[in-house]
Amino acid sequence: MAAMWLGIILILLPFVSALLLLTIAKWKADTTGFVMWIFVIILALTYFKTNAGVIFLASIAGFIKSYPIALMVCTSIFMITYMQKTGALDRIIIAFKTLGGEGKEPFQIMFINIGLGCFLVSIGATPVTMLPPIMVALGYSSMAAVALPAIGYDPLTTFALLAIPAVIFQSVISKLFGGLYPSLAECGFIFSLFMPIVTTGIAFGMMFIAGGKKLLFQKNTLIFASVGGVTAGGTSILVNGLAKLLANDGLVQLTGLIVGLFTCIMMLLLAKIMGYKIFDRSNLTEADLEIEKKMPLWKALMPWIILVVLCGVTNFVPQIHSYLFNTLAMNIKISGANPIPLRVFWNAWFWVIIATVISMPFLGVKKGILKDSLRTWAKRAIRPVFSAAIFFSIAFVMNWSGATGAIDSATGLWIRLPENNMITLLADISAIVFGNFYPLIVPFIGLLGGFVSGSETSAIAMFTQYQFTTGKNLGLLDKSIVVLGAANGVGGGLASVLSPAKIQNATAVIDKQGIEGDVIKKTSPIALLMTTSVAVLTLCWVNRYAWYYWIAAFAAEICLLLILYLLVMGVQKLLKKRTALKQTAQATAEEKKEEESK
Amino acid sequence: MIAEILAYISVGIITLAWLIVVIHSMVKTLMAKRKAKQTTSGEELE
Repeated sequence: MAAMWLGIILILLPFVSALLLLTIAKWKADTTGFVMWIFVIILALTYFKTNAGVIFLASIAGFIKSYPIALMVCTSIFMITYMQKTGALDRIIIAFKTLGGEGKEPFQIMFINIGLGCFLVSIGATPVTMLPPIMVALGYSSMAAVALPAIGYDPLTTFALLAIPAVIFQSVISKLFGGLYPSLAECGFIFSLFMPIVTTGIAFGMMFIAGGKKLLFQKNTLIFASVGGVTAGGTSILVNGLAKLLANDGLVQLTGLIVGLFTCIMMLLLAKIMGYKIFDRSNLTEADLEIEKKMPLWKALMPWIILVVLCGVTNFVPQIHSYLFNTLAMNIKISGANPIPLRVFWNAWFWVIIATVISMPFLGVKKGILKDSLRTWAKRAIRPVFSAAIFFSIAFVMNWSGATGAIDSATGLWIRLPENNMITLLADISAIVFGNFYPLIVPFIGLLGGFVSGSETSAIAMFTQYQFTTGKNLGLLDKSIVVLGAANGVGGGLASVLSPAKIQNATAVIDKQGIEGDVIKKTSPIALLMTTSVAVLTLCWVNRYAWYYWIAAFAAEICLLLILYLLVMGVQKLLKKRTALKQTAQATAEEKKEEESK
Repeated sequence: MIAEILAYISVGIITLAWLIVVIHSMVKTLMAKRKAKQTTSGEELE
């Protein structure tokens, strides 16, 4: 038992050091990941007695496995850089600026940060760099202008970049189940069932960030936040439910896009009903009007329009989908690791390149724009790409730790000794310590993975096998195990708002570097609150509780949070009182001194 | 087979490119720090 605990401490050590490197030393995610990888390799070689060749090849296999996300990051940065250099991005930002809503905060917050945020992130654009300048132009404080776009798309990170996190999750977990179960549509549906609670919670949290209690309890705020949150969450359930019903995986990939559009439409409708003036050009400056004249909006949107059409064709025409997905799967086998299908012509990153190339005649390639775009892209892309890939390598080394180097002739996979495997050890201890309450900690594990790696996909890659093994140890049903994995992913997505790298990008675009700490301080309680709600939901769902247990669990959560809130407020008041007393004592002492000297 | 070779090569290229970028930025930061130190000591001498 002592050896088991020592093992657990050793496994947690790289994660703790990564946390310290990110928060105290302020390292970037890629260098942190690299150090973490070295740490994990040393552990695997020494304590977990893994074959050196297996470690090397597993790292390469993990790197290649990350390509759907790593190359999507790479190509979407290229697309956005090209759009920026041609002026298309500025034109789109100006169009967003006109959607002012006459200074109606709840409408603006929901429309821009949740509606547009979800739409943009699903197509590969980054709301954290595009939306803060718009929020500043609309009159929001720097802190709100950074925090709101960072938190707005958070619930739907699972469906970001054409649902790459969900695609990766399905490929990892279906392999663990033997290949047939669950399908992408089934995974998407399970993820989507978490959404309404998270989107609505985030919507109210955003209102609190923007205007405190005063804005939060206004009638309009309550209407916009609840309608917006329920629309975003409800639409994701509808889309994924339909995908499951029709057995059409392609729909899952368009979830973020459809949710963004539906939320925007719903917010516009609500604003119309309430008699708001939706289009407001008074925010536009002289420079904005100049840019507006240069390019029509349809031209600026061309790369995204082409991308949506191409993704629609490759996913909704069954013959094309089957040819690209199955016939051209391009499986590669690296020694004793599971085969990795590259699916170059099905993956979204390939179609991002095609959409960018097709849009070139519309946006232009003159005056060295292409050369300039390529140069900027090369500078911007490499670190995020490596950062996306290295955490997959870490995950693969952890998953294959304890492998002796021999290959099982029946399965073609490396033989692992369970007593030397990091994941088995983590799963065994988790099952012993937490038992049936294990689902409560799963979203927090995802949150840790998401914070350390800065990505939900990496959190999924690192911890899905851990959730699977623990679920099996606890004797859970297959569906409950998928729920555990999905909860881990949702937790990873909620970490987006805490990720220093993302907040830094947002502060940089409005020249307010240095406020990252304040932003994280404001957003972290919301992220933690949402993770706690996801934890309670997971506990009830995985253990298949009766309805009255659900009510009791959520009531207990609310009571606990209330007590915690009162405690924090009490401590804050006490501290304030103490400082006030100290100040008065100091003042009287000084007065006394003055009198004495007189 | 071709896909496997290409995959291995791509891993090498990305890692190499990342190493170049990281080392380049580290050298740049070091140079900037050294320059700042030299300027401060120069000012002190003046």
